[in-house]
Amino acid sequence: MQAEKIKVLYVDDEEQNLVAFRANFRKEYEVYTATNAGDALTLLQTNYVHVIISDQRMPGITGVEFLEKAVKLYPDSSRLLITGQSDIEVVIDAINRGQISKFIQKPWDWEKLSIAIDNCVTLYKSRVELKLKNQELQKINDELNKFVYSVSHDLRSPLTSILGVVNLTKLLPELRVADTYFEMIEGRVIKLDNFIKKLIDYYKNARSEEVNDKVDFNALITSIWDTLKNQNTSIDFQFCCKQHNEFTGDVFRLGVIFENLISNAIKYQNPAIDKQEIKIDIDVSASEAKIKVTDNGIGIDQNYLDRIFQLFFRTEDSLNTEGTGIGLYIVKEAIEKVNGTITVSSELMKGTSFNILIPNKPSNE
Amino acid sequence: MSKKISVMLIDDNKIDLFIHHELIRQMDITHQIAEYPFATEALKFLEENDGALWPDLILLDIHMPVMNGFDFLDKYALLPHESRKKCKVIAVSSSLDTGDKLRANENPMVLQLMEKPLNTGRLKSLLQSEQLI
Repeated sequence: MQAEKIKVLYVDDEEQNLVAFRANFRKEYEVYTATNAGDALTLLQTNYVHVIISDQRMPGITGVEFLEKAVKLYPDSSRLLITGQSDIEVVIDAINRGQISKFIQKPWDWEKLSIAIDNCVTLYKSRVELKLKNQELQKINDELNKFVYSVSHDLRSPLTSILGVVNLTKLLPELRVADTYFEMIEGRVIKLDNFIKKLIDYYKNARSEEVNDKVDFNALITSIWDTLKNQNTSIDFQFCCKQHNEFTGDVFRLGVIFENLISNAIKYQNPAIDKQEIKIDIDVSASEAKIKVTDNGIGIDQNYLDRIFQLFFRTEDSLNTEGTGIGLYIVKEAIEKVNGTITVSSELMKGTSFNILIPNKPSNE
Repeated sequence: MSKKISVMLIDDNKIDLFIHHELIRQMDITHQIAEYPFATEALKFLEENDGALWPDLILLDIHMPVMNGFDFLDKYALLPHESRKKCKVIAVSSSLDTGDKLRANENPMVLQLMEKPLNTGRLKSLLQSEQLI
């Protein structure tokens, strides 16, 4: 921007104005002049101009009409109209059709004109900068999308192969001796795979639009529990759903919320206890869904309660488990996206309870 | 006793070909397993051979260089309907991309998209529900 001198075009049918203008501004700007709109447009065909100044009253095409054409050629340019008449119609026209940024009355005051041109230059520069930033953002956005797509496949693909091979070894009796080693490999690979899945969930939650559909909580919870229950088969799972009203919400985000809360409840069970429990209560009204997820697991230290929703936060207890430090963060983010709230209460070795409110989105019918 | 089927595996990843070959062999549902690391080669076989020689099941990987799973399906759709009727396609992928999943599951020629690593229990129940085995 520094190297290039700002180019200003001034169109006026009175030659002496052009001469005076040129004399006054030629040091500061690269000044182009034309005595009529036709010449000015020809000039614009071959020269990129940053600030366009036009007199309103000219033979043939008026200033507004000329600026209207100019804005199509150079939408980034800033435009300024000079007029002797103070006709409100001309002003309205100039703003609407010529999209002018400044308006100067004749006879002009040099200082005012100079400030007006300065403002136009600043406007032009910020417009161009904004455009560049937008292009940059668009590029970063595209790259991020490609990156996530690649993560969701290329990063997972070798893991699924490793898991596939490990699964194969389970079918071979002669490899029984190595079972524990393979289990170790499997455990670590599953952890890494879960981490990748969580990252993708996080990304999808952060960036995808809210999609509101009918939600059948019964079916949703049942299917999530079905995929998770094998991780600990001794848990007593109690699920009570009072869905009196139809619920409209974002199924993907609700799924993410429940999946993380339930898998946490499974992960942080108390192994010393006789009857391990997870309880889910859902009460759906016309205005909201009240959700309570309770377990009688190892609980969370009071000192940590306000930090568990932070990204990558992990307690000492969670270091021994398969926690990634992302789950609850995604839960909180997802709940914020659907305008819900979440609160937690917990007591060490007694259990944890999450209370969630999610608004029922009015359907469009 | 359940019937034995012939299976065609299409996957650019040699290890995944091996894994799927072994898993299916252990499931004891096949009398023949053919491996194709290139979708183009698999397509060539189908184009050049009568439907009687076609497999009963194709396990088709989605992410492949040159001709990917979707490209393969586009060409596959142009093959004789009679032959295709007895040959079922199951797509397999390690992709978590929802777009890919939707696209595969929406394709009328695909029974289902199954995630890698392949779960033999799920594969078996799918094949049973389709009365392939």
